[in-house]
Amino acid sequence: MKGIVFTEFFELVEDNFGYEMVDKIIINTDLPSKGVYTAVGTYSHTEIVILLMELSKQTKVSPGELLRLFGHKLFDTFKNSYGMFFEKPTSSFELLTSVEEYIHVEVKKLYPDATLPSFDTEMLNEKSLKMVYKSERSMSMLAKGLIEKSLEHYEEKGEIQMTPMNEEGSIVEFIITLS
Amino acid sequence: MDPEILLRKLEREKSSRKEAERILEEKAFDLFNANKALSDLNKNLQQEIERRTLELATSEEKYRQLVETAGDIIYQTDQFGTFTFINATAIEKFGYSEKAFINESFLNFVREDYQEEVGAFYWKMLQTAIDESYNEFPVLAKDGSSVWIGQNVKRREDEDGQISFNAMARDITSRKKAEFAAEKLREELERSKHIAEEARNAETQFLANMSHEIRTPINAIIGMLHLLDDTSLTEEQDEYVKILLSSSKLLQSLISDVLDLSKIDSGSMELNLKPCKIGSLVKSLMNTFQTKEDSKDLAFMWEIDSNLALSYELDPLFLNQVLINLVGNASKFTEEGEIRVVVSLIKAGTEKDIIRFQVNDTGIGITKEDQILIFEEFKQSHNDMREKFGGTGLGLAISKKLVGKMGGALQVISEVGKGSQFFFELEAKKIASSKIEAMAASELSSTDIFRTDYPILIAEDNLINQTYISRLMQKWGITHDIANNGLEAVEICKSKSYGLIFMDIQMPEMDGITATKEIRKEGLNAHSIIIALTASPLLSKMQESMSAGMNDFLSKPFNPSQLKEMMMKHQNTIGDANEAIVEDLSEFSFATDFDAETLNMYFGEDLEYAYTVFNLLVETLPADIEAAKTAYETKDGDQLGKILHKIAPSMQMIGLNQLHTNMHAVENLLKESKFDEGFEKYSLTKIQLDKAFTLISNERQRLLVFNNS
Repeated sequence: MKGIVFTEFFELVEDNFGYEMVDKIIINTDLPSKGVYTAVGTYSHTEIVILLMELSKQTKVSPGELLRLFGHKLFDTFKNSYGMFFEKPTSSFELLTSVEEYIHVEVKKLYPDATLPSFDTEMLNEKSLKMVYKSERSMSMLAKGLIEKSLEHYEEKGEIQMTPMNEEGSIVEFIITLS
Repeated sequence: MDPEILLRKLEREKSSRKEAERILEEKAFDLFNANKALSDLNKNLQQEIERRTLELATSEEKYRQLVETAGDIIYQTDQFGTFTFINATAIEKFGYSEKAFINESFLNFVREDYQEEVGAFYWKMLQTAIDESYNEFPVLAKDGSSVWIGQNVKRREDEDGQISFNAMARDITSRKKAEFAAEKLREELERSKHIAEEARNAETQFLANMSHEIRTPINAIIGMLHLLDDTSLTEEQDEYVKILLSSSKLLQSLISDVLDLSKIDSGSMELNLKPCKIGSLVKSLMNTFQTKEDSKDLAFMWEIDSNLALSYELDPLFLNQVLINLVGNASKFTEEGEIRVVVSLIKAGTEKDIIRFQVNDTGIGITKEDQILIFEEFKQSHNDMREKFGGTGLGLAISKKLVGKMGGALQVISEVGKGSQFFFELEAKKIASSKIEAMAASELSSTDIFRTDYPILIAEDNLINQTYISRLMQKWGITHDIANNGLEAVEICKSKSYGLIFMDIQMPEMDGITATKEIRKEGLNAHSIIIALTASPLLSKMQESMSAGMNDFLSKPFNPSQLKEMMMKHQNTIGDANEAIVEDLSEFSFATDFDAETLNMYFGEDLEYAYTVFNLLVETLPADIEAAKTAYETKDGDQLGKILHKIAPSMQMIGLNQLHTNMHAVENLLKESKFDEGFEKYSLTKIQLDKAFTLISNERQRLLVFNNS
C-alpha cells in the first residue's frame, strides 16, 4: 500500500478527531511501522485495515462510513496532486470511465508494483452508467466516496445504487443514475 | 495537547522525515544509476545514429555523385510521365534548367514527330507490365537542335502500387546522324544509279532507233543508185550517178562512224568472241580493197605467219572493222607504192598466242606532233586534210577503242614523206583443229556456185527496201514473194515452202522475231533458212534473233555482194531441208522459254512423265495463282510467301529459272517482313507468273499431241 494512503488517512483522522485519536490508534494497534509513514514509502495493506478497524472501534463510526469519508478526502488529494487526470473529462461519467482506461494505466507506469482495483464501465443509457468494482481489498465504500465526489466536482446530481456481487464484497456493482 | 503525545508526534514526524529522506536518497541513487545507464545507452545510441547517418550520407553521396557525374542521362518519371528526377548530364545535354524538367511531362521534350511513338512505348510498358525496354528517339534541346537518345527504361512498382519509370539514356546523335547520312547516300546512289541506267537505256534505244531511221533511207538510196547504175545511162548521167553514189557512201560511213563511236562509249557494243580465221579475214579484206582502189597505182599485199594457228577466238567484227579502218586510212594517204598487212606470231603459248597485226604504207607519213593527235576524236592531222581527203577523222579513234576492247593497244610509227606503220598486239585463244574442220565445212567456199533454184520470201515493211531486194532477186533470176509485215509472212508461210526467208526485225503488226517463232513452230517452213535483216546491230538483238530460231543476220545497209555472200553461205543447207523435216519429226523439243538443260535433267526422254507434270501444273496452278492474287491484293505477306514457297519448286523443275529466282527473292523479302519491297517485286513477278501459265498450258498441249502421234 502506497505511503500516501497512510499519510492521508492520518490527516483525515487528525482533521476530524484530533491528533490524540491518531496517537491512540497507533499505540493501540502497535504495528511494525510504529505509525511512521511517508508518502514515498510502501507499507503492508493489512496495517491500514487494522488502523481503520481501530478507528471505528474508538469512534463508533462504521468502517464503511469511514472509508466513504476517506474516499471524499482522497478525491481532493488526487485532484490537487494529479490535476492532469482531470483536465480532459468534462463530466463525471467521462472521468469514471477514464479510471480503468487511462488513469490506472498511467499509475501502473509510475508504480509497477501497485495493486489496483479494476473498474469495468458500461453506459446503460445517456443518464446511467454501470461500474463494476473488483478488488481483493474489498474497499468498495472507498470507491463510493470517490464516485460521490466526482458528481460533486462536476456539479451533477444523481443516485448511486450499490449491489455487492459476492459475500466478501470483492465484486460490487455500481449503477450511477443522473437526475 | 498532552506533552507526551506531542512528543510522540514530533518523534514520529522526525522518523517519517528520516524515513522519507532515506527512501528518497535511495531513490535518488537508483535514479542516478538509472540516469547514468540511460545516458550511457543514449550515448551509444547517439554514436550508433551518427555512424549510421555518416554511412548513409556516404552511400548517398556516392550514389548521388554517380548519378550526377554519370556520362549517361538518368531520369525518373511517375506513371503519368511527369519528371520527378533528372541528373546533371541531362540538364547539360539538353540545355534546360532542372526546374524546367521537374513536374513537366516527359513528352513535352520529345521531338513532335516522335511524340506519338514514344507515348505508345510508355503506354505499352504500363499496360503490359513490361519491366524493362529499350527505345530511341530525338529530344528537342533548348537550342532547337535534336539530341537523339537511346534509353533503357525500367518500370518500378512500389508497395502502394505506384508506378514509376527509371531511365538511363545515352546520346546517340552522332551514330544516328551517320546512319541517316548513310541512308541518304544510299538513296542518292540508288537514284543516281537509276538515272544513269535510264539515261544509258535511253541512249541505247536512241542509238538503235537512229541507226534504223537513218540507215534505212541511206540503204535505199545506195541500193537504188546501184540499180540505176546498172541501167543504160548517158555519160553525163553516169557521172552524176557515180558522184551521188560516192557521196551517199561517204554519208553512210560518216553516220556509221559516229554511231559506232557513241555505241562504244555507251558500252552497248559488246565484245563477241567466236572462232575467227585470221588468214581468210585478211585475204578477203585486201581483195575488196584491191578491187575498190584499182584506179590508184597501189598494191595491197599481206603476209600471214605460217606458225599461226588456223583459227583463234576473237571478235571477227571488231577485228575486221579495225583492219578496214587502218587499210582504208592507209590507202587514203598513199598515192603510190604499197599497203601491206603483216600478221605475225609474237609469242606462242599452250592455250593462247600473242599475235601482232601491222598495217604499213608508203604514204605521206605523220609528223611527231600529229602522231599524238590522230587518235583523238574529231582531230585530223591537218585541217586541210579534211578538204583534201574527206572523212570524219573518227576512224582512228574508233579503231583505238575497238583494239582496246579486244585487249590491245593501237600504236603508230611514222616518218614524214616515207610512210607509216600502225600496229597492235592481241592475245587470243587457239581453237582446237577438230572444231576448225567442222567450221570449215560451213564456211563460204570461193569455188561455190551461186544457187538460184529455190524460192525466197522477203518480209520487209519498207517499200524502198522491198523494191531493192526484189529487183536484185529479179536480176539474179530468183523467184520470190513479198510479205509486208510479220503477220503476212506467217500467213504466207502456211501455204508455201521457201528455201530462204529474209525477215526484217522491226515491222508493224507483228515483228520479225515473233513471226519467226510462229513459223518455226510448225508447218512448211519450220526448217527454212531465216535471215534477220536489222538496222540495229546490237548484240542483244542478234542473240534474241538467234534464240527465236533465225539462222543468221544481215546488217542493214548492205550492198548486192553482201546479200549474195549471205545467200551463198547458206545455199548448201537449203537442199537438206526436207530431210531435216523428216528427221526432226521424231524429236520433241520444248519451247525455248524453258531451260533445255533443266528439262533434260528432270525428264530426259520420258515425255510421258513430262506431260504428267505439265498437266498437273495446268490443273493446280490457277487456284494457286488466284490465291496469290488475293493475298497480294489484301497485302497478306505471310500468305503470299507460303503460296510462292509452294509453287516455286515446280517452276524450277520445268526450267523456268528466272521466274523461280524471282519468286524465291520475293519469298525471302516477305520472310524478312520487308513487305513493301516484297509486294513491289511481286507486282512484276505476277506478270511473269501469268505468262508462265500460258506457256505451260501451250507446252502441255504440244506434249499431248506429240505423245499421241
